[in-house]
Amino acid sequence: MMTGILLALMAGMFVSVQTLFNNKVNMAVHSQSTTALVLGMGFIASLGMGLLFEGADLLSWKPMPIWFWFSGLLGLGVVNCVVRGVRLLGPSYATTIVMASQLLCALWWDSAGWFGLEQVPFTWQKAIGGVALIAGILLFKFKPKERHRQMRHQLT
Amino acid sequence: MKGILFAVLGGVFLTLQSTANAAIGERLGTWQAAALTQGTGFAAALLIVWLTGDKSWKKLGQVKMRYRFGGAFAAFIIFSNITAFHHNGAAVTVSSVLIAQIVVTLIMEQAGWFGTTPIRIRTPQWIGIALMITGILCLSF
Repeated sequence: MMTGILLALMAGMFVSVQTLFNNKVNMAVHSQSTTALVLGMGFIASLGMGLLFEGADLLSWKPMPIWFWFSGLLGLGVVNCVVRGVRLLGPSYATTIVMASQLLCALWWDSAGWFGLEQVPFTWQKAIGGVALIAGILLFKFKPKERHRQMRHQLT
Repeated sequence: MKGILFAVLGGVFLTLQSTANAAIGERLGTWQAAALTQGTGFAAALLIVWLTGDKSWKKLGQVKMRYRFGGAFAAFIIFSNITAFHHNGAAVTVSSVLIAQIVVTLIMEQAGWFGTTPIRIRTPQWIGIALMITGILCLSF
């Protein structure tokens, strides 16, 4: 149990660090090039890890549906949108919105049973979860008025 | 407003991606799925760079070496995610990943690490994050 939780926490931490690294790249080059670099690095690293864990088996391809070849377009959308969002909103605010959108989409599609997902009934607990997420974001952006006062001080 | 739109779309793509990855991984195996989705994504991204005539990658030299490897974290993320999944299942894993992500991002931005402009986090922001964590837990379990 503990190992699993530790690994999951590490994964989350790596996602945050990656977001900031990508943002740093995006300060020097455009979003298109940033996206290409990020996916290229991910590809090389996954290929390496795959070879490490599975050896030559990794290179034997089974027949697969054609849409698999286009799955990369989703990753393209993820990296491009998140990089732009982070640049415009800052890492924390962008992360809160990405996360809420992610969870609410999952909730919606689970309840509707879309994309071949097993239909999960919508419960009160989930409704409360959704409301808490959105309220959390709104509070996160809440700025006390003190800041304006400080600015006025600086002006006078 | 544009930033919010991008962030929302990013979340939509992320959920679509994890749904697709689960289906692809079941058929091909985790690492083949990871290599396939990122490899084809990379190819498409290169095509877009070429089509839009984006030559800004020439300035990549200005970016510190370590920042250029951000994308490679994906492999560690996938590995820990899957191992955690096998240990504890979806609910605990997804909620732990998301909570760690939001808390660590907040701490790093507050400290101004990795070239972020430090932000001030006050009580409303902490309550907001606590509410979000409650939301994550309510939705995961």
